[in-house]
Amino acid sequence: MVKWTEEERETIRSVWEKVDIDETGPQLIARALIVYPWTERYFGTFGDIFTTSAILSNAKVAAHGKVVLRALDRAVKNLDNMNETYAALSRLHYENLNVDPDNFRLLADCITITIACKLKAALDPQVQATWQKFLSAVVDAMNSQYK
Amino acid sequence: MVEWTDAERSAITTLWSNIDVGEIGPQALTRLLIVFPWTQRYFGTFGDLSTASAIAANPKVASHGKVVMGGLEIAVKNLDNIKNAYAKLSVMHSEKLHVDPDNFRLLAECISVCVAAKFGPSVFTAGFQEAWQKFLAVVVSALGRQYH
Repeated sequence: MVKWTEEERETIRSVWEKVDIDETGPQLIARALIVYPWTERYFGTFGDIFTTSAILSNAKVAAHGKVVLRALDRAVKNLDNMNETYAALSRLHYENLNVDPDNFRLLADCITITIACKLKAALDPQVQATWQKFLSAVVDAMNSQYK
Repeated sequence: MVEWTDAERSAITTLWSNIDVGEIGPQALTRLLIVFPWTQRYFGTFGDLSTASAIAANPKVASHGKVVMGGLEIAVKNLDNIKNAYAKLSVMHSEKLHVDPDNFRLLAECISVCVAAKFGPSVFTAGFQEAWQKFLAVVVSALGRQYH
């Protein structure tokens, strides 16, 4: 199980409270689809996601970004219990959605980039280190039910 | 060989022309050493890297950051020939410096975080991010090319 210092917990909370799900959510999946185009394969029911402008104006893409961030909120609130918190989601992504788990790492990178754009210098190296530790714990939790 | 769209070329050169190597280079290397602490093993001659503040204040880190970031200029000026342009640097990192090539990807990630933090979402749009990260991925691949 991951150990968190008091300082790390405080850092994660303070980064998270600066994230506006309605603002950041839409950017998130859009960036993943644009920067890593093979991820489009998972969103066959989303309509037109084949050009940058289509992706950026796609309502389902925007909505799904918010869904992902709301799930991330559960990780922030369950730092000591991430594997159990994400067990059902992990199983869903493995058994139903058949998502290659390497994509969790790529999505985590997009989250960090989006937050860096917004927080700028406030995402200083130490904060970045803690935030990326948090995201890699989330990625591990998402991997936990994969065999 | 890598194919670049006109939009990608334009994004890369626009970002590069607004990047101050002396500003972003030190930040990127500092972040690498703090976020991925095992990378400190390559900088044994740099003095005090024992804490985040020591790293952030270390003049050798700052000047080496500039050198590394400046090395990206070669790629920007040789977009259609990055693999060959980096052949010697790749040999050096493999045979002399013995750098695990996975670390190139980590440094590229840190550079992207610095660029995102500097430009914000209206300049570092999804389209620009795609071009920039593709560019860095090609550089990373070229640096790993001569490893055997």
